[in-house]
Amino acid sequence: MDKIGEFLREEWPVLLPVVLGFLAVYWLLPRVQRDWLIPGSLAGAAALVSAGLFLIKHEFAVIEAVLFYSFSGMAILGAALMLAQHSPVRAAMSFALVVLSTCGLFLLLAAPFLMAATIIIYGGAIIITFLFVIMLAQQIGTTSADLRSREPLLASLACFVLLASVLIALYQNYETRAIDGRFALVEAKLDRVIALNGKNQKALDDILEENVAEKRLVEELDELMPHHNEEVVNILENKPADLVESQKLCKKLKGEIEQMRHRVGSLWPSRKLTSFSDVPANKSASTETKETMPHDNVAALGRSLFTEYLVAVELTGMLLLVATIGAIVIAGRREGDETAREVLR
Amino acid sequence: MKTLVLENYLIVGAILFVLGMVGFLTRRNLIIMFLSAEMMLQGVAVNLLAFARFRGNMGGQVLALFIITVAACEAALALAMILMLYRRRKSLDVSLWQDLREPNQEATLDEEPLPPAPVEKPLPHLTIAGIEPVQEKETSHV
Repeated sequence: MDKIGEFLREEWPVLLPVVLGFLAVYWLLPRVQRDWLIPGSLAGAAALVSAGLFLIKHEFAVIEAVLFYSFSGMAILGAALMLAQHSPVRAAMSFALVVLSTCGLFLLLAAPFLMAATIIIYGGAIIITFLFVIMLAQQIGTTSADLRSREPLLASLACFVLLASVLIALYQNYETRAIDGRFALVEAKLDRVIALNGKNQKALDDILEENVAEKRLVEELDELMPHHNEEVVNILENKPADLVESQKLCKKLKGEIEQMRHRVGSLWPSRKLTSFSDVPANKSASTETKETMPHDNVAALGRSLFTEYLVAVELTGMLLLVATIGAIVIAGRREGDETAREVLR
Repeated sequence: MKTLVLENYLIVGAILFVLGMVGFLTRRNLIIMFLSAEMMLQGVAVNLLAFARFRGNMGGQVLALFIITVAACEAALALAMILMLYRRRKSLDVSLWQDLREPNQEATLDEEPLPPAPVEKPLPHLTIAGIEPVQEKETSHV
């Protein structure tokens, strides 16, 4: 019981939106007696708001955050609407909303080519789906299949248990505010060393010995960056007599901390955009451009596709061909082909 | 300087995936099931692009491009199969195909009856011209 209580106390920011979302989806799924539409919509709105408040992390209300909130909110809203609609036409409209807002997210994620490709391809797919809906579903109208859902309780329970476990894993692994704070303290200290001017060995010693969140700077660094153990000790424990020398070392250490934060810290996006043209694509993994995005997206994507992933591209072409042939074979049968139908029955 | 973190995009991707999964499991219309499967792929693509952006690596975008290709193949095949299934049963209800189930599974039956179809109101008849309409007697409740 204690463990359950502790679990609830620790994970409530995840569990609250998930439970609300479960209730919303369960109540909104189509069924014959729709008595729970209003509580379902309220629960859905509460789930969205609580997820935005407790799960999404950002520091300032920058334009990127605003765009992220609106695009992801619209995508999730469209997805929920698609689940709740009786009519297939409206479901296809909601899916179009999902695709368009996801394309906005793609643009935020520095993938303009994929955004365009998704709009074109999924746009085509949605138009074809519309054709199908008009061709097939409109003839028969809203059938009993559209008014019911299969095992709504079990299905939404299973899916939301999956969602809760994924989100809890994310929440535990990416809960980086504490470690960010520690890195920030160490960085501030190193900055103070760098800012020292003149021969001031006493101040340098003081700063190095001073407590950083109840630990000495050396120990704190040791703990934060265990793989750089010896270097850290070399830099700080020996207390190089030359102030300029130690400032240089501190600058180097700061650079390493920046890199380290990319790996263990909060995973900020890489701000630097490099020109991809001066580094061959197949070399990019081993050189310094590892954590930067090329600014010419289309060129870099093409370079990457046709150097590193050439075999996969060829195989995908083959897959498209096979799928086309398969679609023609499956759909191309004529109505009058009675013998084949009898055999299959 | 500090903006969004990777986790935000992963959360959105997970939510899209799970909503698509709910739709695939519960909805009984073949076309909506197909759309739900596409939505799961969208969630995965968001995840891949987020990893690509935050790791500074084009591999994620390439993989997302392959996902779009596979989704296109899937759309072609799925719509062809929907067309064929519709020709057989004249309906998009996937429950009509439950005789394909395992031998020891029980068939799911719709227990809840459908609500009666809404009765259409008869159109109002106009009184024939030239005949005085029957006047109802006015009653006062005062």
